Amino acid sequence: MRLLSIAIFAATLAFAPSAIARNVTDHGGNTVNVPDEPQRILSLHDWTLTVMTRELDAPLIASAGRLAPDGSAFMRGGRELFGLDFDEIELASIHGKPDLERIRALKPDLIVANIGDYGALREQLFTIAPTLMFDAENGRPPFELYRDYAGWIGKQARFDELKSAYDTRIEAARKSLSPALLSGTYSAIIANERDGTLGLLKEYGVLTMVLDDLGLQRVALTKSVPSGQSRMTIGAELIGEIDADLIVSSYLPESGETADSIFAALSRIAPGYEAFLRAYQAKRILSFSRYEIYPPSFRGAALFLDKLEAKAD
Amino acid sequence: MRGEITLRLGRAVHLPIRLRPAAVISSLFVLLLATSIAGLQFGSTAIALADILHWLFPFKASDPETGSIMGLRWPRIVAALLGGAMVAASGHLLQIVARNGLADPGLLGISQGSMAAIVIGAAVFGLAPSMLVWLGLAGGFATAILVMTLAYRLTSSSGLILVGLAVGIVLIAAIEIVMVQGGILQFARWLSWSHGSLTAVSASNAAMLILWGSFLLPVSLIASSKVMPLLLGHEQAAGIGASPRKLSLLLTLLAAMLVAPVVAAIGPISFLGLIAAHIARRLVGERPGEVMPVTMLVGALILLAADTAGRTLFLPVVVPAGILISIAGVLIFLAAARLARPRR
Repeated sequence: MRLLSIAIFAATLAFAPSAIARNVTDHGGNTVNVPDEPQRILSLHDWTLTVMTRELDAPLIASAGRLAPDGSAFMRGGRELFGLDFDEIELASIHGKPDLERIRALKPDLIVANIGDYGALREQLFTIAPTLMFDAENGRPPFELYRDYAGWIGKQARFDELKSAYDTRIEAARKSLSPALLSGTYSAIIANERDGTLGLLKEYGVLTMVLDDLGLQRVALTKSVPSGQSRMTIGAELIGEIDADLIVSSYLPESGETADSIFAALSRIAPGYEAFLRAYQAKRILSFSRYEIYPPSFRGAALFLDKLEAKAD
Repeated sequence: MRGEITLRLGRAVHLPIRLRPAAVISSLFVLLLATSIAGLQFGSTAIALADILHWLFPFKASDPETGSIMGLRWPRIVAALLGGAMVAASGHLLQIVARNGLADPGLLGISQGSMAAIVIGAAVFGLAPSMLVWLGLAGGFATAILVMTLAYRLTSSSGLILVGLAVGIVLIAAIEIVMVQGGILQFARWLSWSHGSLTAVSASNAAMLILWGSFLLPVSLIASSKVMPLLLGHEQAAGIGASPRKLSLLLTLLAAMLVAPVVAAIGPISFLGLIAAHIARRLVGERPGEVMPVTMLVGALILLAADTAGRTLFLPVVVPAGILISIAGVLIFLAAARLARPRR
């Protein structure tokens, strides 16, 4: 009889659902009771949360997407880095146009959203499933934020495994890239042609993460970015302040931009920049697809390193 | 009198009821009821009418699935009904004060005043949502006073609109400066809220609007029956013993109070005050006591219809109600401006 009781107890433990709840504090400062091992994660930000969830091999059932000019929906970053499309997972909403009923119908057991677009909807989302708010632009390094997220969804071990491989890749890149580049300075920018300004980026996905990890130094002006923020806007007259051994930027393929679009943009914002930016003269103004370098992703980091090695040497 | 019946309650009470406004108000009530039920029924998940009725009158326990969907739909329907009525009433009151049929809380800068106060309160001082309504009220009222003061010596009634537009533009620029200082995250939040969407309306937002609406809408109805002298102009109104300045000030305060909670809960809904009052006057004429209830019902109907259309017709894209109303509003504004005759 006693043996039977032990056997029943052991069987109960073995077959009990693993979804034991635990408390998590998200980037909005909210403490949320979430499943220990969520089985139906719904992401409301494609090129951060969807990408990370996929890379961590977590059970992603749906994601927010964007509309292509032909009317089809796609996931920024998810499509380019992992070939992810809406045949594989469900469309949760179009980015910036949340459909709460559609989200509810997908029956998620955990919703992850970015605080900028969905902070005001938290109360409503919470009526559907536990909701965690992620903040990609709070000024902290992307992989620190990624580590937070992996912990929230119970994938810390997978994150550590990916991080270890990344550290090895960084070491290899340090050996292959020229010492002159690695000991130099860099600035990461976005050229805003529309209003003739420049965005100086302190943290911008793997673009800044990888360069920091390689040991490059940021230009002094980056220290002026207010704490808690990841970028600041500067006028064209300060373009001399962003000059460095390497200037990196990004382009958005869906807007028809290419790696060379940055040169046309700089010409319009600061005509004659070619004469005084040493990065231009050294052919060290490089631009990369935003789909690959904005998401906090180890695969994106590896792609960026490949392209940096090919372009910078 | 033709077109009027008298309701007799005993020998002492005789209530004259004009048939046209009564018919219009009854029809709008029926239309509003039908649109509300349609709003509850349609969405990403269609629900049978029987389930809706069962949920509305739960004599026995309602289906949890239906209850869950209704939990998402009823707050925005209540917010659309009350928010639409309040913004429309505000527009009608401002049109009386300005003696200009093109006045609107957005065109006179009052919505922007509320928005600026709410944005600064939230982004700069981190105030709680319950405080933001009062701040929005103060901002709306201060802007109304500023606009009226600046336009005081202008003889043309359209001068008030021009001053309101100018003040509104300055306030929007100030809001954008605050938002840009706060980084892209803050700017994204502002952009989403400024479209005037009911997607984020929660049960607590709806409860706040019920609280404000249950006080302000009856006050607006009572006030509308006292404003007839203002339609004559300030000098003539003073000549028959009214206090036009005092009355204008009180009505402006009431208009700002009507808009502030809606801006705090939903965001700005441009042109609604203009459209609703314009349609109401077309339906029942110029008597403020009759125009006001019709304006409220039309405003509620427009916002509810725009929200229901925005979340059902263009799926998977959900279009904010404020954008649909703005498109309709611009067309009606242009038509009204073209048809409007200058007052002497």
